[in-house]
Amino acid sequence: MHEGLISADQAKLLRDRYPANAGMSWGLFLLSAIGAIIFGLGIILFFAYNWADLPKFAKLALIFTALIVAHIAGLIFSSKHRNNQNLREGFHVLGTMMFGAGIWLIAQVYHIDEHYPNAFAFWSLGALALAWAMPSVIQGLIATLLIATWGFAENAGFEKAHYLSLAVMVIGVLPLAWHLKSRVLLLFSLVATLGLSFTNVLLKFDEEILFYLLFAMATLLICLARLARYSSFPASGDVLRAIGTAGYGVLLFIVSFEDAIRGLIHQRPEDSAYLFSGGGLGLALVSWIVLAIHIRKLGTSLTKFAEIILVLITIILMGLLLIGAFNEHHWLGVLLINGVLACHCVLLIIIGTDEVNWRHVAVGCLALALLVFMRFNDLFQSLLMRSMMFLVVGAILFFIGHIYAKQNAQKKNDDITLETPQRTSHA
Amino acid sequence: MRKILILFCIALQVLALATMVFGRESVVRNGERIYLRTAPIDPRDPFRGDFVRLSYPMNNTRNIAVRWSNENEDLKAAKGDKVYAVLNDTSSGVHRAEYITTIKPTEGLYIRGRVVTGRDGGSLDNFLQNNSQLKFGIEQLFVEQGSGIDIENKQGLRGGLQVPMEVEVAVGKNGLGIVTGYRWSALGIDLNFVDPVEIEAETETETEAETATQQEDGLPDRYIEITIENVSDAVVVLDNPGNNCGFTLEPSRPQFSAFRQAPSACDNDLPPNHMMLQSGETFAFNVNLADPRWQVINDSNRAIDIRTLGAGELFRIVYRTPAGSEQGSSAWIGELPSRAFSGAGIID
Repeated sequence: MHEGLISADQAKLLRDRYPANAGMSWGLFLLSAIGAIIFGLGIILFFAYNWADLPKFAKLALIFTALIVAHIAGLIFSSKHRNNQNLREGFHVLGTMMFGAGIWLIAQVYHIDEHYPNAFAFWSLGALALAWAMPSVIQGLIATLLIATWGFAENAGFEKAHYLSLAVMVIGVLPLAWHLKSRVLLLFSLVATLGLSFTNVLLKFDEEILFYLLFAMATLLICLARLARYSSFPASGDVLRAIGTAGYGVLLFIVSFEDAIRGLIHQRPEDSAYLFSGGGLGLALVSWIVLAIHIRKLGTSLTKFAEIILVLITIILMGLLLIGAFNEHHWLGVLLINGVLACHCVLLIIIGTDEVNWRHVAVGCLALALLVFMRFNDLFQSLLMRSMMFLVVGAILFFIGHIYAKQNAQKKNDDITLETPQRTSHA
Repeated sequence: MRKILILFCIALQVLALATMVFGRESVVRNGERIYLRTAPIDPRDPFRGDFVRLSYPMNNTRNIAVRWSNENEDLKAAKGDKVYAVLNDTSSGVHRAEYITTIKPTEGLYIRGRVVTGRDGGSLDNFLQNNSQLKFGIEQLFVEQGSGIDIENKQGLRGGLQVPMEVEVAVGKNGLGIVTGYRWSALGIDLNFVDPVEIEAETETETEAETATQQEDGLPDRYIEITIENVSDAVVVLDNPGNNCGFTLEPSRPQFSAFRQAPSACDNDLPPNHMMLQSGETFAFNVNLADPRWQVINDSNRAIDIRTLGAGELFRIVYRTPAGSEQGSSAWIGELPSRAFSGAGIID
């Protein structure tokens, strides 16, 4: 306002719409929450010492009192003021920690030697109920961690598939993340859901199925990310895309190795797992075909459309690998997959250069360099050939850098040109 | 409305804890209090510093009778199946599991548990032979941090006299067992390998016989000294008929061993031999592993000298009250397993 960019009325309108104390300070919030968690852990450890001079009922009374007082304090501080919101969350987190401490304490007092994952189950349900009631992202995060611990404890400790924890995560936590429009909660709960899903799949089927399912899931997540922009939570697309892209990229790199393809060829899944894998890839294929048709109708750029076609080709290649098309000529599979990977890298560089997005350019260049380096060890025995590859890749990267700098400068000039007429009219 | 919801959730948390407490406290207050004697714990089991792992003979089906209402019924001893240990009083202040069943008893005292390891499906014989592991929820005792070492020492986990712990358990009407305390058995047992030279110095004739034996079989002399000590404040009567026939040689882990004690004169009905042990008094005797009395037989009923077996094959000397003494006598009733040892001269 003082620089004459906006008038006093405009400044007031902006201040009313975006109050200075609106929302929460994430820094203060995290500090309160972490402090409450550590304090709660301290209480748990205090009881773990199991002081013999402290009578049983004194211990129980302490924990019940701490639980009730922490939650009541949270209720008292419940208000719209930002600082009290932090305290409110902190006290309720402490209360949830006291609930967990209470479960372990009672197990200690009565020497309970039962199925220990049940303790995490009850604890997580307590946190989840509060997460919905308040509502609260941090309670949701605690519930996510506890449900994941419950599920993994059942899987790892008792070597059996456990679907209840997975169901609670899918029905209880993912919708909460959507309801709260929280990317953090969505990220953690989605990662936990995927982790639990895959450990259960491993226990139900053999490990051969896991690669195909992971791949199908990664591509489906990228597809869903595109759909998310039309939903009530468009920001969820960032999370879905991040997880999907990371999974897709890592798996594609892994399968570009000749040994990996040989391994997948020799370890064919059994019939039921075979259908499961095929179904996953089939669903991914259909989703991406629909997406490709939809994107084409919208008239997107050629490079973006090429990106979608590349993913389609990769899904088809995985399907061919599953049905044994490369059993006799695995080198063909190696060649095609490496070709697709190289195209992905180049496309990323082109898109990044066009849009002057340094992240895309950097990732594309790094991925291409990594690919060349990996194949360097696999394919080239001759030092001459190796030197040629390094020269070529180095020259390409140099050229890309030059193009990017040129594009960047061009974009800045265009921006200045657009701004200048507006400033002249404003003065 | 939101505050009401939050209050409701808080109330649920409090109620969940209160239900846990109430359920168990009612058993502690109203349940029947019994003592169960623990079995020896493998010293390699980790002691986690703030709780003690407890083991009972009824934790393994190899150690106890299995009984069903219908003997022809196929048993599915799958992991997680419910089982019930029917308990009876041995009149020595300690209860013992009489048999295991998967059918909930309608009368008498019993404690409920679950199969921890067992084959999926199978017949009754398989359930026995597979030596399923059972747990009854009373297999751990939380103690103040640091005090577990004293318990460990008294149990004999670090060597020396082994004194079984007798765990006080409150048993509810539905079979729920809750550990409420513990005490120590009146008797302890110790086992040590003795230098043959010391034994030979005691009786020359025995030395000549043992030397001749050694020359015959080429195996080293192995003597074990077994000591029973009265660690209580009262007089304890020990029934040990015949030639120490109250003691048997048994595999340390019967569920994994192909051996059992060879038949001997101790298998006949013998008149009781009561020994009065005053408080602190000990009774000791030597075991010569070359003596056929202390041999084992395998599945083919072939007698085997345990000195010929590897160091990995472990055994225990177990005192067990003779059957005749269990019926209304004043003798101490129970079993005292020694530390595990091998015929190669190694004590576990």
